[in-house]
Amino acid sequence: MLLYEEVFELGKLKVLMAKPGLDGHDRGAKVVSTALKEAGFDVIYTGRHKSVDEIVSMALNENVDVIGLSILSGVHLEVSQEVLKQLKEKGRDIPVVVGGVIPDKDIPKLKEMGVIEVFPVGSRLEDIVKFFDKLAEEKAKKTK
Amino acid sequence: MFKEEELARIKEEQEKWLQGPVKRTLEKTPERRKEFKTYSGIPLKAIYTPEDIKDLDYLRDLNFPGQFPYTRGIYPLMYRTRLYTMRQYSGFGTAEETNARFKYLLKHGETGLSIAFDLPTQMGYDPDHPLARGEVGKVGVSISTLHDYQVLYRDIPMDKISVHIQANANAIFMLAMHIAEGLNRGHQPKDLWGACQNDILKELIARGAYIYPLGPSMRLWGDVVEYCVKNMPRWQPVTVCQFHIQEAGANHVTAWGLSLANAIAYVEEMLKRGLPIDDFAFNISVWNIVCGPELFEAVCGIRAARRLWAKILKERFHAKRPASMMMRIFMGSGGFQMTRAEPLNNVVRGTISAIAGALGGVQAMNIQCYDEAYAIPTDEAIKLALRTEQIIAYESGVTDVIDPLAGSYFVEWLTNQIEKELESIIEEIDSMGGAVEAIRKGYMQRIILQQAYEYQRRIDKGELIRVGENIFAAEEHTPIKTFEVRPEVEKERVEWIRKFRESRDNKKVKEALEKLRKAAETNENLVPYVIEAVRANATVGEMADTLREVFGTAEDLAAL
Repeated sequence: MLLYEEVFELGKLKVLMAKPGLDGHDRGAKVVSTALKEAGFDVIYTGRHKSVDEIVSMALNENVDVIGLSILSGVHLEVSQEVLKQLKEKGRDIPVVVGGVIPDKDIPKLKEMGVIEVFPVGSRLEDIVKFFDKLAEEKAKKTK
Repeated sequence: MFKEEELARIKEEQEKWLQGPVKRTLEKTPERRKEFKTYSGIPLKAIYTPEDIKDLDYLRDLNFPGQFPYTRGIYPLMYRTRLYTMRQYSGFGTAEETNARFKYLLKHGETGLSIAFDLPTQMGYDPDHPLARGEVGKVGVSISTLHDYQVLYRDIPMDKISVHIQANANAIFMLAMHIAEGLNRGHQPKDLWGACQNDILKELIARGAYIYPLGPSMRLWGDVVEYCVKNMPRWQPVTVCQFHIQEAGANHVTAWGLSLANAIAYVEEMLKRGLPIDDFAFNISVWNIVCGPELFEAVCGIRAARRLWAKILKERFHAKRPASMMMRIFMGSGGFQMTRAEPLNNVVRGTISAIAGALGGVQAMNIQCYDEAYAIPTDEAIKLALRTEQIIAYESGVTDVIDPLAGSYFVEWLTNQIEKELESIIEEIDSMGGAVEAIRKGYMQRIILQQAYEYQRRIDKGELIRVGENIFAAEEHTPIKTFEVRPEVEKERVEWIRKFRESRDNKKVKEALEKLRKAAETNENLVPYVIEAVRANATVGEMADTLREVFGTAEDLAAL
């Protein structure tokens, strides 16, 4: 069992919150970013209208620990697939989390392709933060 | 409204009531909450009395419907002569599919149209642009050419059914298509009936579908408005949106305040162009609002904003024509209040919103469908939304008496309270140099984010209740039938647009685009040039690109 301070120090996550594609609804992306920042995470928000190429290269340049994709326009399957594919091609195993308007039946599909967690609209901030805390703990364990 | 001695007697009795039955009740049962407040945070007492509205002056503050300051409504007899227009936001896939849905809705008694475009169309990209990948036809209809627009409008009369073209950064292109198709059918621009959303300021602070930087965006906005004001008396060239500001996170009252500040900036922009206030104020005094989530705040918000806007036009801008001061309202129930959990509950939420709209005297309605949190609506869901509007209009009795809540101590007090808050928001933005400056400085964006975050915290803490989501949540998740756009749409559209570009007279297209580019470099109004380009079969993507070359593209002003 790690001490809280250890998790905080060793497991400090750098998160890229990304808004892929043409959809401009950024309320969720920004509210979740704010909550994560308040919880002590290092969050970089891409701003709107980013292509998958831009998101992946930002993730690599900034050396982030996790990528959050916020998608409300129904293109979550295509976009997530493409992000995961590009990460794989670059040999980088950065975990991807998806949030937004996601129909139930697509959640298993996203997880199958490698998305580690899905937070559809209506998710509680507390649960999202808890999930990131868990990732931080895992990172801390690995680092230690 | 009340005599001094009567007020004194009421006060005396109230004191007895508080010290007697109220005190005894509280000793046995505390109130459900420590404090009661509206959705927007206005503190609420348990009861309101004549004391709370003792300064109310009937003729000054309320007056009759159709009379300044229009608190009770803008038409003398309101719904007794004409019901609100029922106008469901719709569009998906191809022009053909959307045309079929329009006809389906009209067949079931819809009285106006509201066109939803897909994101590539909204952002000025053709279906074969790399950024359009995955988005073609998804959240609205894909329209690139005049031919598409003709198919979209097939068998629908352009002079008899009004339309809201929900286009903003792309408003100039869609308006030009509407005019061009009108001309094909022998209608002059003056015959066309409808509106375009064209509220670019709220795109920059809230919704995010912008193309060009702030300066050129305002120029295009002004070109559209000026053209319409001069040539299209039955056309509203902008719908000022409270809606998307609330959806992006501002509370109900703040969203009203920011939208009013934006509208003031629009008025000033037209005045700068040298148009007299009474030539255009009527055309731009149309609002698109979220009516809800709370019934009383929604009704009082409408009454307060209508009165304040009339006063602003009269006192600040010295309008003389009564019509210049009449705020018309197109309400929606809001997508954000529609929960993913137990989606059928959203039917009730939409109904409450629509009742609030009818009690407030709105001119048109669009209820967001119960499957809003999942996808664009099924035929069944959108028909039910329309049916709700019809049942309220024809069965509930709500539409038979004008402004029926007027005179309620609470309703008049809350109306006054909201008006005061709106005034202070406008004052704050005025002190920063107006809405455009406030946006440039990120002020509006910050307020919206701050309130969005606060909302989510209140939901998580259970201070704001969403039945079935944060209380009484069911363990089991019952799936509903959701709508899916045909997966082939994108491929079909990509192939179609490529063939289309080969088959047209490309020399003519090039010339029209070149003229548009040259005009964009001057101060000339661009609408006639865009109409010409549309008629020469230029695509939305080509026209948007031509202007991108001159104006550049927008940065995300709303970033954290």
